Amino acid sequence: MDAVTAAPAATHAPSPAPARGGGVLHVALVGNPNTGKSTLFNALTGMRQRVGNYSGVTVERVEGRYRDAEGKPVAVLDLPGTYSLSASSPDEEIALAVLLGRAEGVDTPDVVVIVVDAQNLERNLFLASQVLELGIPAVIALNQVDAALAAGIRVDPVELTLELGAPVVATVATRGEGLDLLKQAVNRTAALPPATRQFELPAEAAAALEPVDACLVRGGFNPSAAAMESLRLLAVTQIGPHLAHVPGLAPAVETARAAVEAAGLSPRALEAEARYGWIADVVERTTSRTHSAKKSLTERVDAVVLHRVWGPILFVLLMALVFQSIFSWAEPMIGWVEGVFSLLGGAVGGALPEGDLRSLLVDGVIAGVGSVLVFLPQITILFLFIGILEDTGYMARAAFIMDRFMRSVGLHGRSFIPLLSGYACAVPGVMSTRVIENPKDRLATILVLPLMSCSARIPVYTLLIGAFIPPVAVAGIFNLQGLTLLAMYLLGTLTALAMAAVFKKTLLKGRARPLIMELPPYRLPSVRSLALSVGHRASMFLRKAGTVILSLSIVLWALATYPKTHPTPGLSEDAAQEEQLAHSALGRLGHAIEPAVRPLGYDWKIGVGIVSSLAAREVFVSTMGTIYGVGSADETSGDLRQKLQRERDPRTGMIAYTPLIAVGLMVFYVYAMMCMSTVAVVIRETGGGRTGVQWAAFQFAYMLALAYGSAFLVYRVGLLLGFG
Amino acid sequence: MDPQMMQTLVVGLIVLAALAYVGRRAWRTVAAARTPKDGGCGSDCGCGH
Repeated sequence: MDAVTAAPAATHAPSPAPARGGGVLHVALVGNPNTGKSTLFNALTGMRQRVGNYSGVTVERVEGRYRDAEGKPVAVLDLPGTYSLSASSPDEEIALAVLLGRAEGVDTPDVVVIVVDAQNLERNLFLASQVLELGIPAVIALNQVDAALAAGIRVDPVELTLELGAPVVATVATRGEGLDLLKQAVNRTAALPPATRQFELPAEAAAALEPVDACLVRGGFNPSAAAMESLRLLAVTQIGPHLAHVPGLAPAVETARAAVEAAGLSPRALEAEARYGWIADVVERTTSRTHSAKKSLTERVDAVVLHRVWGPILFVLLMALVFQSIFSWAEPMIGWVEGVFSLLGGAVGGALPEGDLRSLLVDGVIAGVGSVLVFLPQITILFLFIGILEDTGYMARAAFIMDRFMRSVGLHGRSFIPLLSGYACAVPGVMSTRVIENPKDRLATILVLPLMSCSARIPVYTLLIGAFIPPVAVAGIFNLQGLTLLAMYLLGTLTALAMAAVFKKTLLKGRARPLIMELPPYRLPSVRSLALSVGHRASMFLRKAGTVILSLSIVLWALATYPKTHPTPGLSEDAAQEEQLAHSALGRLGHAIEPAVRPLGYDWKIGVGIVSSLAAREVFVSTMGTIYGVGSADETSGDLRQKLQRERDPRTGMIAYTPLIAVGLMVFYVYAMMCMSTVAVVIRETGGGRTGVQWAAFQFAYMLALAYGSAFLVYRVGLLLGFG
Repeated sequence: MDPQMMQTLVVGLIVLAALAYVGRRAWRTVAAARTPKDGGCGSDCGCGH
């Protein structure tokens, strides 16, 4: 493709970069959101990635490595997506601190790669122009040139190189095009002099800023970075923690603002006017448009997807299809995994002599961990769909569609992204509420966020749906199992919005503000990026199964096995096992809990499952797996669902678990906050100490009351309607 | 030592190790809630952090 070329400055640079400590070249990737920055990062580093947090803040830090053509290591840091270096949000603050070499525990970059979307050059060049002034060697990755060409936009990389004073490499990160040239440019750019400011400020403004520049230079900044900072500081309200040590800076900025105002200029608008004025000229000289009046594909699709009526309907239909696929596609794979664990149980059972060790391995470890691991296919499929929806650009449209509902309940539009994260896991969701500036909006979002159905609930839902909801067709194309799963997700989401409305009208009164967001163009997802993100999620699930769930399965097995009792003579093997289970520590604990859960239709086994799942929701499934492993003489049947279907109430001899009980139990899990990691992060994010504990306790209590009350209502109303 | 006793001993050790792991994780979760810097997100919470 002819657009994928490198400017001469990139490819004919004099010599390779002199790498610092340990021979590693440190590269930082910076760019606006939706420029394909993360895709470029994935394409450069592949599987060699490490995810953590920046010291002292909850902004995600993603690092990776690759080797250049000569085999030398290059460390790449993917900075958070940001529109500018204004430092008005934690993400922007971190990006600026890293680029200035003032982020604790982060190496100062040798080279910055500024990822620029060729379709939105004007907006992207604002950040690029700020970064170029920091005095760090920089390369521009002009990304998505294919989509720009398709939209009739052609950017000349050579002209852009001359305008910016930094090498420009055209790339298509999704297809890996231009990456070799980009790596060459990175390697050679560190030896080139950094770019400088390419536009002039009005003379009065330049004079007014001189004392601020001097102040910053005395504080250790290079003159170019000092000039960028002083211009930026005119428009911001706080100077930021990375400048706190610079003596006399705040009064100098105040004096400069007064001088700029006295010259008839606006301190707040000066930087935007100066940069955008220059950017408009650059775009004019480097870009040609062959755009026809015909609407682009994105515009035509959006006419339907964002329609006031069709948009929400399409959203729900899409979700219904996703949840249906989770059941229909995963079922054969679940059968295989169950078969493997059944064979494993049989093999271990046959190889070891009868005794406690065999019981621990077969009934505790294999039955407990296996009962959770069988849901790996469904979790993988769900995250594959989420990845596809994100990568195609649909998820941003979903946020736009949901914003209308968010505002109607008084939540800020920015709350949607943390709530969306809650579908994967509430912990990062709660952390990401930091992007919400208003403390009341933020607290309301934290309080309702765990109502969004996280991935830990999937094993519980799918166990119960698979066992008790028949796979009958609905309206020809849907099945009842998929629709039940969708209903659980919708119930959680709608309740979260309803509870947010309650909180915003009572405890946390405040006005809702609209969301301003960018809708990226539709594009085909990258198979590599999808595989990486799904693989990451699957490995997290496997790690959890191999650590927390394995340990708890062993502990629960011990509680379900000891103390031992002598079986009543004449009982069948199954009845003797059941008697032993009832006399065990777990059985006694369960019977003590039973009066509290009986009104919901649950027996002591479910009660124990609920209590043990306080550690993590999936533990409910492994607990049931262990209980039915210990309480059954059959060591080869790995299908927990069949065991639950066959369970009889010892008092009545009737079927113990009915579809009504299963639905009530799912509703309980939609609402109950059974996750200690979330409780801990809520304590911290709501202020820590006594205040944090009070908010977390309030949240736990209201969600438990909601769970218990709703499960009670479902069961009792269901009985009255004859569904028992 | 007879095989049954051996099995009981091994089981005891495994259960103790599991208890120690669960206890350590519980302690780390509580400690993390009190310490602002590291957060309450355990490496096995499933969120990927």
